[in-house]
Amino acid sequence: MRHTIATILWKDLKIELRTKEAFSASFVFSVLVLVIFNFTMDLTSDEALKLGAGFLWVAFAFAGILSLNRSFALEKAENCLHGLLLAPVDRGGIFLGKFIANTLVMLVTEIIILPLFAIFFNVDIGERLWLLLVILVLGTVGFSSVGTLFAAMAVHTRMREVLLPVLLLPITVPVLIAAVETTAYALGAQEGVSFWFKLLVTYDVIFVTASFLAFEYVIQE
Amino acid sequence: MSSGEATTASAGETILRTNQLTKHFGSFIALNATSLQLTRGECLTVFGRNGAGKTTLLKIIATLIRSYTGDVYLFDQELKKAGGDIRRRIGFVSHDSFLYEDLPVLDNLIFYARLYRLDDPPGRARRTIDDMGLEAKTATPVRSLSRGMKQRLSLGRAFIHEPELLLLDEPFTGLDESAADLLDGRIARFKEGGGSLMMATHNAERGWRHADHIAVLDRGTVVYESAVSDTSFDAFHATYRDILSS
Repeated sequence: MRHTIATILWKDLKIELRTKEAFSASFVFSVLVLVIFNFTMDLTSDEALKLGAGFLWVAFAFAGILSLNRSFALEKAENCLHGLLLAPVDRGGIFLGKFIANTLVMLVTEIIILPLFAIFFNVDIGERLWLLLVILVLGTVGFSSVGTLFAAMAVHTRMREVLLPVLLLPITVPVLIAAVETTAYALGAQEGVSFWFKLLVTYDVIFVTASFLAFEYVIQE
Repeated sequence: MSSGEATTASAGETILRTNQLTKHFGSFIALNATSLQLTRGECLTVFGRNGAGKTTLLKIIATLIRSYTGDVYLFDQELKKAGGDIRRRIGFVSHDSFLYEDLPVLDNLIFYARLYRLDDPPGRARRTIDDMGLEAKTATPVRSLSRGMKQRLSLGRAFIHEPELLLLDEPFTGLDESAADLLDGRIARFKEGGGSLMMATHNAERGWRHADHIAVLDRGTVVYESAVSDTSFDAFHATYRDILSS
């Protein structure tokens, strides 16, 4: 399975490095969200700390949807998905390869957006930077695992761009809330978030496993 | 080759057998109790109009569709119980290329060579490129290739793992004459090498050219079947036209 994961990952990252389509779309979208929130709300530094985490994850979630849609759109063109399914490989390996590629693309965007967020909202992200990065990884893993599964489901439908957020956002509400609460803690706006950390980790374990197991049935015609 | 008495006359090894194969999409019956056989080294061509069930039949055999009733035996294994390794023995050519438009020619083939766990993927990919006459296009993204070149590359992709059974779904659709001739030549070489083929097409002349056995599907049901040696093209063509106009 490791070989399949590496092969899918190699292919997806190679395409992304050549086109930069998922990255550029999600980066521009994230910047726009932050700029709009920054200019429409005249926040004090305390308010920026409290609300900033929410703005950040709104940007990450919707930018992530753009990137996830793109991930399976390229499998739909020329019916490449059939090319994958015809190969003698474990379908779980296909899922993990796509999931890791999606997570990496989202994380790269998020890490580049983070300093811009600090500038726009005048927030110090350096104090608990490592914690912030861990939260980004945990939140993104949870979001991307379910997102990869649902993007695979939506790819067979005519309205996949619309269907993906409709399916994905309700089920990722717990991980997004947990990510917002823990990010607020990392920014110094909140105390006592051990419950939310546990929820983040638990969500990741449950949904990465469930998505991995369900992928074979979802991808089949 | 076809079902029933006609197949028992063949001395060759049966590599594919469908028995009462039925597939519904909701209330639409795509395949209705279809029974067909294919002998090693031979070509079974399945004719039929659009929507007759040809593509569904090929997709089931290629393991792309897993929910159906009836039985499919491929290489002596019941298809529903067979592991993923059986797919290593199957090649699939469709009017879709299965190629990534943003990747160069070489990277597309390296990707598929890796996916099939072939030895020396770059070497295998380069040999396939040479075989398909695409040496000058190695670094060209697939998006920039002409339709004919794309089809050649798609053929290379389907042959890269040297399958024993080749499934062809309307392979001549959209091809110009030279690309269709190249495909004809590649199919002939594959057969000479002992490969077995199952082709779905509505093109009577091209489909007949390689066939050892023919079948016509209409609304999911096999309505005509024969060994090529038992009929003539003109007789078959007249029957086929009648079926299409019915």
